[in-house]
Amino acid sequence: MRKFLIRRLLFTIPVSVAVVFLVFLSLHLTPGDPVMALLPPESVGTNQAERDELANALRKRLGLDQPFHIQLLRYFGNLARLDLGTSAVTRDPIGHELAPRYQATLELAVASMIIAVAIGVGVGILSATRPNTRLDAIATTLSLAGLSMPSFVLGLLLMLVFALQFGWLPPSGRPASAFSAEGFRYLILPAVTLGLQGAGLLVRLTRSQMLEVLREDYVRTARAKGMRERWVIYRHALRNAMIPIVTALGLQFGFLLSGAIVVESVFAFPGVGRYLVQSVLNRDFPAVQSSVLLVSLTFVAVNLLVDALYALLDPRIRYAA
Amino acid sequence: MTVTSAPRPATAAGMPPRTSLARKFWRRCLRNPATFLSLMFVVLLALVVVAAPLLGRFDPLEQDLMRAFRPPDGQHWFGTDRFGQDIYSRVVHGARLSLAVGFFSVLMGLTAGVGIGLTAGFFGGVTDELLMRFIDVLLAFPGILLAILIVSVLGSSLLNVIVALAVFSVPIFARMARGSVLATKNLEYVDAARAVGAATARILLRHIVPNILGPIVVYATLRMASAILGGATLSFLGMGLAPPAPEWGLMVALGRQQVQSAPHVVFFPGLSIFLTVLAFNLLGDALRDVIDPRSKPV
Repeated sequence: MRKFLIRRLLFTIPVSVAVVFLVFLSLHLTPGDPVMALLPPESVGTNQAERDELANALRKRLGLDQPFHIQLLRYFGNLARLDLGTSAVTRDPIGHELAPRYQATLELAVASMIIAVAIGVGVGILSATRPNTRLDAIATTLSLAGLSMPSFVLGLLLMLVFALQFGWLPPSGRPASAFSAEGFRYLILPAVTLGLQGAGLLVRLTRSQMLEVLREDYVRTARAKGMRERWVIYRHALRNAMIPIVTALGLQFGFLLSGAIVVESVFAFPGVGRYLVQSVLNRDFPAVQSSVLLVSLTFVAVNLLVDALYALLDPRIRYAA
Repeated sequence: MTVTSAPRPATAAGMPPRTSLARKFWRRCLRNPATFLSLMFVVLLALVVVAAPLLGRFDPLEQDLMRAFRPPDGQHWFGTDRFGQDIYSRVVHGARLSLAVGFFSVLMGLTAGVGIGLTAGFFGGVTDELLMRFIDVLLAFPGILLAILIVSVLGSSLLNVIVALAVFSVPIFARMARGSVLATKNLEYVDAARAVGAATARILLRHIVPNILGPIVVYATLRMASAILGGATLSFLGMGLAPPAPEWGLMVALGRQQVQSAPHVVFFPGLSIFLTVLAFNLLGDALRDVIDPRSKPV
C-alpha cells in the first residue's frame, strides 16, 4: 500500500511541476510583448511614451527583464514560499485575495459533490435494479438531459423559479461561510445547479457498473443462498461496483471545480472561479495564472487522494504494487 | 444453446463492412425514438446552417429599440431582445456559429490528438513516454480551465475559441488512438505489411487508422456536444465572441439581467444549446452502441 502511494506521489510531482511550467510559459506565449498584457487597465488611455515608461517600470519590478531561466527559477521560488505575486489591477497580494475565495469554492465543490453522489449513485442503483422499466428509461433520459444542459441555463432557471418567483432562496452572493445558517442558504442554489450536472454522469456510470456486477456469479450465488435482495445489492453488488465509481469521483471533482467557474459567475458567488473570470476580463494576468494553477493543483491533489482511497477499497491494487 | 448468425464478409482490416454498421445504426434509429429524433434534429440543424439567410426573418444584427423585449408573437416568433433584435433570426444564425465552433474544434483536436496517439503508440519508448506525459499535463487542467487560460493568452475571437476548445479535445483522442495502436500494431496483417516493405506512414494510414475510425467517429460525435457546450460557455463568460454576434451563449449572457421580466430572451438560445448538445450526445451514444455493443448499458 505504502509502495503504491509513494509511486503515485512520485508521478504527481513531475505533473505538478509541468503544470506550473505551462502556466508560467503561458505569459510568454502572449502575442507581442507580455508586459503589455500586464499593464493595468488605466494605462490604456495614456500616450505611447507614458505607456512605455509604465511598461519598463513593470518589467523591472516583476523581473521580466531577466533571462528566461532566471524568471522561471524565481517563479518556482516564489511559489515555494506561497507567494503568488500581486494583482495587476488591485495591487494586492494574490494569495490574500484567493484564500477566502478558495474556501468558498471548496465549500461549493464539496456541497455539490454530496448532491451529485447522493442523486447519482441512488438513482443509478434504482435504475440498474429495474432495467428496461419506465423508471429506468426516465432515469437514463434525465441523466443525459442533465449532462446536456448548460450549467448557466440551469442556474438561471433555478434562480428564476426558486429565488425570483417564489423568493424561497437568495438569488446571488455569499455574505458568510456555508457553516453559518445564512451562508448555507446562499450555497443551496449554486450547489444544486452544479450537483445536478454532476449527478448525470454518476447515474450513467453507477447504472452500467451495477448492471455488470449484478450479472456476476457471486451475486447469483448470494441470491441462490436465499439472501435478501437488499443485502445482495448493498453488501455484494454495490461494494464491487463502487471501485470504478470512486475513481470517477476524482475526475468528477475536477469537473465540479471547472463547472464552479460558470456557476459562480451566474450566482455572483465569490469563489476562485468568479475571480478567474473577472481576472481574464480585467486582463489581470498574474491573477489568471495563480487561479488556474490553484484549481489544477487542487485537481491533481484530489486525484492522488482518490487513488489512495481506491487502493484502500481494492486490495488487488495494494498487492499489485 | 447459442444462436450463431451467418458469417459476414469482412474487410481487409478484419472489421465488418461499413454498410453493415450503417444499416445497424439505421435499425437502431428506427427502434429507438430518441435516437431517431436526435438524428432528425441534427439533420434539421445542418439544413438551418446552410439555409440560415433564407430562414431568418430579420437581419440578426438589426436593432430597433422601439420593439425591445417584445414577447413571442406572429411577427417575432421567439420575441425580441433589449436592442429589439429578432431572437428567432439570431438563434437561426447562431446555429452556424455554434456548429462551426463545435465542428472545427473537434476536427483540429482530432487531427492533433490522433497524430500524437499514433506516433506515441507506434514508436513507443521515449517518444511514447514524452508524448503521453505531455497529455497527462493537459489532463491536469480540469474541464474548460485550459481553454480559459488559452483564450486569456490569445485573446477572444472565433479562431482562438476554436483553438482553445481543440486543445481541450486533444487528450481524449490521443489516448484513444494510442490504445488502438498498441492493440493492433503487433497483429499479423501489420507484420505482413511491414514484411512487404510498407513505409511507416502507409502502415499507420492504411492498416491502423481504418481500425480506429469507428471509435473516433463515436468520440467525435460526443466531443461535438462538449465543444458546442464549451463554446457557448466561453461566450457566456465573456471570453468568446463579442456582441452583437448572434452566439447562443452570448445571447443568454446578455439576457440574464432580464430573466424575470423577459425570460424568452434567455429561454430560446438556452433551449437551442440544450437540444443541440442533447442530440449529439444521443447520437454519440447510439453510434457507440452500434460499434461496441458491450457498452450498451451506459
